[in-house]
Amino acid sequence: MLSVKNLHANVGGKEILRGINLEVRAGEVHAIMGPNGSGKSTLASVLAGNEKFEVTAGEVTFCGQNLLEMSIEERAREGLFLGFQYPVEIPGVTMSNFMKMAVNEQRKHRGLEPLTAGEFLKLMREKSAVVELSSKLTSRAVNEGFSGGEKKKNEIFQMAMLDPKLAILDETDSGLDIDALRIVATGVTKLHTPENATVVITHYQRLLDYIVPDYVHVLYKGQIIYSGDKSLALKLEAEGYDWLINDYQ
Amino acid sequence: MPTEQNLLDNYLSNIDILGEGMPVWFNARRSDAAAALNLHGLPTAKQERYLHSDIVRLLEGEWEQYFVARRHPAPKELLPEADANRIELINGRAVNNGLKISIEGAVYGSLRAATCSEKYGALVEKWLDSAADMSDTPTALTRMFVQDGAFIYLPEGIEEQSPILIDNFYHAENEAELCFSQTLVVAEKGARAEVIITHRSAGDGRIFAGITREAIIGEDADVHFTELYDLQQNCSIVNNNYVHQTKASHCATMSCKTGDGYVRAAYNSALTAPEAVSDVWALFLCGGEEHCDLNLAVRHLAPDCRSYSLVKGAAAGNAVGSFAGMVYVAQDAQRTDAQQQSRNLLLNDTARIFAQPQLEIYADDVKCSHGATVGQLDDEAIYYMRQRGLSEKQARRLQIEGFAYDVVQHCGCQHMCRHISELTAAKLEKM
Ligand SMILES: Nc1ncnc2c1ncn2[C@@H]1O[C@H](COP(=O)(O)OP(=O)(O)O)[C@@H](O)[C@H]1O
Ligand SMILES: [Mg+2]
Repeated sequence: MLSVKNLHANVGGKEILRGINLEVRAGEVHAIMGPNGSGKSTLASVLAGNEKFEVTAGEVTFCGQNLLEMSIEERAREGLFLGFQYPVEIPGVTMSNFMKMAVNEQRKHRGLEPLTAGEFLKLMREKSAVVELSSKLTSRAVNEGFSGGEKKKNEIFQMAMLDPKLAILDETDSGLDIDALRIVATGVTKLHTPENATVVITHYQRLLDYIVPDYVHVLYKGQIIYSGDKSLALKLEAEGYDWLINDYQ
Repeated sequence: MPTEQNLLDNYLSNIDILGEGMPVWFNARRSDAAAALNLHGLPTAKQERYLHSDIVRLLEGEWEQYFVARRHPAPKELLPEADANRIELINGRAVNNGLKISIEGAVYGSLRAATCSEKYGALVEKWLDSAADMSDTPTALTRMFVQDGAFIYLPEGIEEQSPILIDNFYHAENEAELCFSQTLVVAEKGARAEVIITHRSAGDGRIFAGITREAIIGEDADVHFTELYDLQQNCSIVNNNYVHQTKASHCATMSCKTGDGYVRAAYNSALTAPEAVSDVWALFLCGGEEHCDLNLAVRHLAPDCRSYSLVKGAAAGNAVGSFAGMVYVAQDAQRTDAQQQSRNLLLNDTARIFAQPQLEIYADDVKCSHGATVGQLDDEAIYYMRQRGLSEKQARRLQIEGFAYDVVQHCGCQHMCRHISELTAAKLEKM
């Protein structure tokens, strides 16, 4: 589904990604871990097409297409979803209005008719239940006045609405209390199917108790320095990254 | 181009026909206004309040003035689905030269009819020109030439259920026309109403409309104005509003410029007795070569009054927007609570917005705040929306609509809300 080869990217003239290689197939769950500042969010942003970052080398194919040639919205409409580490507040734009446009744009891209008002409301109700997002929040402005936990739930709610092929979730678990973590993580698990794939970027093993990864990768200084199975996450939790980093150096 | 002298000459040579059928007092005040114009001259950019409004340039070229009613094609009915009490004006003249009374007892219709009526003539004489400032020359110019306009009288205690709609239609074909009108709203003690004022235009000729509106809001009365400028590019409006509020009265005004024509609007409120409350929300959207100038002045003249205003402007293309705000707090207006905010959005590098909020405070126990910001669209928000599948254009549009929302949400009835939302969306599409 996603194939990243030797990806290099800069921001402000500084090289942040220094040769990333990653293969994600349908049905898989990948976890990307690594110390702060190692480039995890940058990788997610570059895959989503954030124009702040400049790709200097490498190739990325997504479902057989050259991802790097596509605009942000084309990537989204092709089924790439990014759960933001810091979801953006958009004053005056209601969640429901925003989602209606997003869902219908994606449907249009797939040659489907826009949803009727009734169908849309039903979809909203159904999907907000996945993360127990209160209907009060869906009638408010996007992320405005949402608590940290609500913002993260809202990301998963949007993922549920849009039903992407590949979801990249950037620290969707950070800043959540135990209950919220359980709700968010169970939500993500419910959305996982053999046809789609999930990449979770995380600091903590605790998320991986719910979402069992097929692969765990460690990103350090813009490179994946180690990949393993889910036991790697446990080991990292217990021992930190030092042993790997020392090895690497 | 009509200079002060041309205008005064035109006034003097038409003085008889201008005042025909109007009471002596009404015409006598024309002469006072003419004297004021003669004294002060047309505003130039040297006058602070007209810093960004070049009235003289607006008046360039040849203009016609008509002092008797003429035929115009009837415009399409505005908000036909709304159950409204309608006053229709074409180029400042009431289409029905009469007065009507609503079920609840509100009197509404032509200002000329009210002025000449036995029943309401004295009321008009008492309140007309009482709040307006004749040292503002466009106000004086309007007063000089005015022959009609709208009149609303809300007797004590009435609660009007349906909005009163003043539909101003401007029309000129193959010529340029100057037109003037004056509106008077008198709300007596405890009266309540929703007043919608729209300005729209048609035809290939130019229009310059001078408008003065006075609203006298009595004790405990509550009047909500919604004013919409939906003008063609060849129609310019200079609109001076004066609200005079007494004890514990409430006046709310929502003003929105979505059209392409030039708008210079001034909203002046005087809070003259304790516990009066004034709210103003305004939105102007300017694209292309457009120009919009909004002036806001709130005068706290008594203690324990509150005023709030939020003015939002968005400019694209080579448009110029300007906002000048003034909160004046008199010495004995203690415990004043005044807030004035101006938030602006520049959609490209060539558009300009000038924002100048000012405070002038002579009382010592007050809570006043003011501020102005000029910003750009939030790239992060646009990225976020595009990541969900919206095009860049849609994301920008949605964000600007969001910016406009906290003004637009204050518009009168639901039909008007929909109308304004549609016009806002159509305007944003073009900007
Ligand atoms: N917009 C930016 N401008 C400059 N430097 C940036 C920007 N975004 C990220 N960086 C830098 O790139 C590096 C990687 O950041 P990031 O991808 O956010 O790391 P992580 O998500 O792994 O914590 C950090 O050194 C960070 O300071
Ligand atoms: Mg990060």
